[in-house]
Amino acid sequence: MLKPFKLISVCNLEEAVSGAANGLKIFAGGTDILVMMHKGAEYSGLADISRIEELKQITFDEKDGLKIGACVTHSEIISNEFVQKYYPALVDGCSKIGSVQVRNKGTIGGNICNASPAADSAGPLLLYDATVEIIGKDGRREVPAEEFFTGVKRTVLKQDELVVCIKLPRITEREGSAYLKLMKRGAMEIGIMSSGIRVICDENGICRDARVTLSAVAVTPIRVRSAEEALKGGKITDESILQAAEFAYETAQPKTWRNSEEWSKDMVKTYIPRTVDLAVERMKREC
Amino acid sequence: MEKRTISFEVNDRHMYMTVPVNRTLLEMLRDDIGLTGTKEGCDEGECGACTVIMDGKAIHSCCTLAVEADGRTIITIEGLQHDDMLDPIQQAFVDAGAVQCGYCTPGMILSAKALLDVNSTPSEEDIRTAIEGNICRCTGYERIVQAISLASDYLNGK
Repeated sequence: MLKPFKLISVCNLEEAVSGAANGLKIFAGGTDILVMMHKGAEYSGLADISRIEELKQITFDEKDGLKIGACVTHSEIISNEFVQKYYPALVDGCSKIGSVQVRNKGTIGGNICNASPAADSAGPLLLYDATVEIIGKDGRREVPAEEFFTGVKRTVLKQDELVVCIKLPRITEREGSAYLKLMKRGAMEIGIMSSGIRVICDENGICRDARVTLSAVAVTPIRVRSAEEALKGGKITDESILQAAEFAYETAQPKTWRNSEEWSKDMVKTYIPRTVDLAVERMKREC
Repeated sequence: MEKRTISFEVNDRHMYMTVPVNRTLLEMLRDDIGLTGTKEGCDEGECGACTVIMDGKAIHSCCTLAVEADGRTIITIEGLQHDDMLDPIQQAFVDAGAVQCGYCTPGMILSAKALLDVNSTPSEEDIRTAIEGNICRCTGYERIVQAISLASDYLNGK
């Protein structure tokens, strides 16, 4: 049985902010919080934001791109036609979270606020230059997804703040992206390491811009800028891919007891080329 | 402990229930309503034994508060049988020999139902994804996958 706690069902963002300011833990899908409470974690109170309509919307606009409310579930993200069409790496990531039951309740806002270095929505958000809209006592502010995470289970959120939505800018015309998660079982699993790739090319096949992300090999999900530079400026070749993989290998600093750190790093070198292949294949399919 | 009175539907029956806010949906179903077909396994959202369907979606009832059921529709394993006739999914589990100790079976069948309700002709991959959150320590899953495929045949009149 769960230890007693106070539960406030908030109806709007103002109430949610005041609840958070008063020390209530923000509660939505419960897939992290209730698990921790079953294991003995105690919170003085929870503020249930799961019935605030504004937080449950997922919208797409040709000009502004995608806006995902904090309480949109992983299942809703995976099945959204615009996410499937324009942001396939986010489908890759969200479809590898937990199991069907977890994805049906777990929310993207919860996934990033829980701030696991292995969070499967986070890498894709970094790939797409997402920003996180936050509300607090002093109003709203936006933070790039890359700056949102500050450490293991740590974010930029102040006590009185919560995430309202996540915005993904419109993608470009000629690009491909992918996110691969290394797992031992295939479900209900924290990734051993995950790699994300986004390549943007011109009509001659020259890579004009790139994003390379790694998850679970640092205290936060990270971008590997040296690897991005290795992919940029020319055609994507075995040489540039292996160079990018080498930079990613050097950057990865896994700290884990679940497997050997050297193996995690080797897998980075293995998975970066595989992820580039998939991203390039998707780009070719679209163009 | 703060209590709330909630209103919901379980297995086609409308109900009111006054529950403490720290009660899980699993505890309410089993201990307050007596629907003990839903099983407690790990009690932390890992094993899927407590799976029920809420508003059409498979969820872990151990990691859902009872008060979250307010205004919602729940289906448990007891809701499948009609007039002493097993549901086609239950019958398929029997016919395929997909039940050994039986502890995972209610959760497994509800995960299968959540799939078949939206996709009546699932591929093997669809089936394996639908039950990825349900642990079975007896069968090795093969018979369960066959049972869900057989259930799809039954539902399509084959």
